[in-house]
Amino acid sequence: MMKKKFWRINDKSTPSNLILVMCFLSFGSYFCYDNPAALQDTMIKALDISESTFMGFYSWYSWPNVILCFFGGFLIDRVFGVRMGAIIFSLFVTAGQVLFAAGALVNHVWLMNVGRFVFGIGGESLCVAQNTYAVKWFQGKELNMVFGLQLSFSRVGSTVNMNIMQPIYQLISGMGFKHEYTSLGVVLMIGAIMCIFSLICALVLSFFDKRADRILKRANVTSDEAIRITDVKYFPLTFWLLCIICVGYYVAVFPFIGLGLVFFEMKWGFDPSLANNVNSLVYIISAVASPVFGFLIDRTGKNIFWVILGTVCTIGCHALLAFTFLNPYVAMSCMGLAYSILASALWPITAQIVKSTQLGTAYGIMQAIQNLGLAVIAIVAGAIVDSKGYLILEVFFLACLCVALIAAVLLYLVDASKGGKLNLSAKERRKLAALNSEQGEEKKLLD
Amino acid sequence: MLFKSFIAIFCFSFVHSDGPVRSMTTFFNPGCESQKCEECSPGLAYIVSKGDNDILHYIISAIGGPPSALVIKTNKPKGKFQLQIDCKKIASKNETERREAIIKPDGVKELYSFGVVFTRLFQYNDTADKADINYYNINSTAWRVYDFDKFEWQDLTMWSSNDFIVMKVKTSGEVMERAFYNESLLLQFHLFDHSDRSTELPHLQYDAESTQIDFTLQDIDTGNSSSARWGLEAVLIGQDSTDKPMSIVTKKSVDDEYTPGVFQVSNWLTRPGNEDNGGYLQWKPVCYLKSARARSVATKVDTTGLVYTEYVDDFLNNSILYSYFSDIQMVSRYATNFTFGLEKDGGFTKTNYTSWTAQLGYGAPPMDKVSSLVVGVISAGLGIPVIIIMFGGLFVVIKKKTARGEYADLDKDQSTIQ
Repeated sequence: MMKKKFWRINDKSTPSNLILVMCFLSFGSYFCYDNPAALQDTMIKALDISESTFMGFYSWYSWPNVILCFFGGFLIDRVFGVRMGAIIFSLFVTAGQVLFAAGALVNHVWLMNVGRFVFGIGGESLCVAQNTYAVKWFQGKELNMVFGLQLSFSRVGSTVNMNIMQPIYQLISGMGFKHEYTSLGVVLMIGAIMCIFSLICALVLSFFDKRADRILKRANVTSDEAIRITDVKYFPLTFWLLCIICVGYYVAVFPFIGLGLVFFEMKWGFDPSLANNVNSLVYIISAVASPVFGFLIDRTGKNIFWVILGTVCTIGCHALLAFTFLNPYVAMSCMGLAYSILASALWPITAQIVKSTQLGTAYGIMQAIQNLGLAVIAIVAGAIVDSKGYLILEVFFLACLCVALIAAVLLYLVDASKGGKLNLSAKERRKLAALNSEQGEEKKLLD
Repeated sequence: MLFKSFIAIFCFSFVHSDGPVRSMTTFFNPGCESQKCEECSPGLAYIVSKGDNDILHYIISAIGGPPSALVIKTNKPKGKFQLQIDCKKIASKNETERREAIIKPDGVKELYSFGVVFTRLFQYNDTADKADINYYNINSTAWRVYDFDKFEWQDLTMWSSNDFIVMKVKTSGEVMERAFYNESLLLQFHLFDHSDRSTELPHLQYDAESTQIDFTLQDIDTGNSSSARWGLEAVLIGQDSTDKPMSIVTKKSVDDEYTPGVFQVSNWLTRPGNEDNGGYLQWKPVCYLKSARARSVATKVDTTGLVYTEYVDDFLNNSILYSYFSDIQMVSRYATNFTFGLEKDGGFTKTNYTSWTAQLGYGAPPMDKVSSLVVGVISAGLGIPVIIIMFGGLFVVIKKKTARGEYADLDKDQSTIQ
């Protein structure tokens, strides 16, 4: 009976729909991240900026985060804890979006860049906080599904943004503001409301997390156990292999989608709206499939096999796109499914490699390396396409995926040689966790 | 000595890729005392390209108005092989003189002849931004039609060299408001004596039996047409009877290594089904909106299908072709319009520049092959994980077997103690 109480966090002490609150934590951030894309032509006209200044709104978000989300993760582990961390970074997100909107209101692009920078510091570290929360609450239970749901919500946030920002702008500009940029500023402020909503979610989670800590009598982290920045050196090989898989896979999906529109127009002769449809298939399918696959992976366990499956599947999709004229709907749909599988299966593995006191830092590192990879490869991919064409670009992406595949296979082998902890089936994992918690109980009784 | 010659051959084989090599000689304004010849205005280039078993004669000129490139394939006789061309006679107004301007010496037999003539240029105002010349009829938008036989060209010899013939327009004639002058229209013919790939986009592969044609429009006053787009009418002629059809064959390829973003190549064949013995005009459906050619300034090229030349037979008779073909009406000839642009690319007026490259040649049109880089990367990229999986799997199986073996020994030990 007592064992059961330790297991179930979502009992009378906390409502189970807290999963939703957790997913909405970064909804505001994902919604506002793609505001520039949704309002691209409007921004370029209203602010009278060039295409490269416009792209700067994205650069100011991503380049600082190559390093900063590592520190964000470390701060979550060492200084703030996940509760304060989530609240602080939500504040950054909100403040950043407000600055961004204010910059548009007064037509100062430098202020908008500052806003995006602040927004970025908050946004990426908020993801790290969200991942840490998820592991803290759902490890050993529905962790894969929760990660899948988080992915789903991020896509939904992005899609909602793409679909409603333009109509809102039309509405606001019809109100007769003197300058176009004033209307733009007002619309962006509306985006800030989404961020405030996410801030409220952070506060709600903080309340319930503190309460659960109190009820379940979770021990405070002592200073010996707290992470030091030098501890990063001692992260196991399996963690770094996981990072390689993360980078190798993501750089073959997102930069590809960034360049996909013209590829579909030129190779298959699609018109722009059809090409757009095919291109966004990955996002649409992953929004629906991630939680489903997450649930499935929770049932079966064996995460590393799923990671390998997702990678091999994506290799197949890129091969189809590169070497055949088969309708890209097939390849992109499969890619959406494969991406859902990988995203749901990959991130929870970190929780089994790294101690819970180092989890924020670990996720911070993974995210930082991922951001660096995406930023660099986006530029490289553009250069490859301009000089050598799409076939060579696809071959390049295949090579990246092969690197991820090699890392995944090595991960399995390294892990298998150490007893195969990471690739347990769900049943084996539950047995192991029960064993651990029993030993933990005994230890407490003996002390 | 042997070593030196080995090195020389080794280097030579790198410089010249596989493919036959020819030797070329170029004559400007043949039949005239000097190269600069007023009577032959705007000038004629005659290139003799000698191969092992045959000779290709190129006659490139805009005399008469329509710019033309005529290619004649003859045998290689022991004696005289050069055609006797008198450019003064070609340029004369007298029809009989024009007829006797090109004379084949005895022993020279024509094996095949073909050529391309550019006849007209259409400018239309693409108000609906469809980039489709067939979308409009004569009344639905503003048109300007430029007949090349009214054009005046600058002296060919001014910018041409032995393997590079340049035609620049002087004026578009009295009919139209003077929209074309100086460098507005440029035709450049590259001649080759070996096989290789062009260094300029679209990096078409050439051989010793082909010539590449760059067509450039720039700095043209399009008048009131703010969304002006162009159509270039071209005629391809082949020494076959008129009942023989020609066709444009478009081949799709997954490989866009050489022309990033372009996955098609089109071949206009004079002898479909018998390409090895016919002529072709090859192009990739891409043109460039800036002189520094790049993928970012590329846009589409389309054709309007092959039609008979009843409207432009007069143009053909005004061109140098009249001097070679005894009766142009008895020769296989078809026309098409090359249109430049794609919807939403801003049209010609955005950059006021459009440049397109095509290739005219004899034999089967060269086709691109996937390079060894692609094959290498794929085999390495996929091969390595497979090898690791095999060895890794073997390693895991072996480890499991030895672990089991140890356990069995321990069991045995215990039983003896008891």
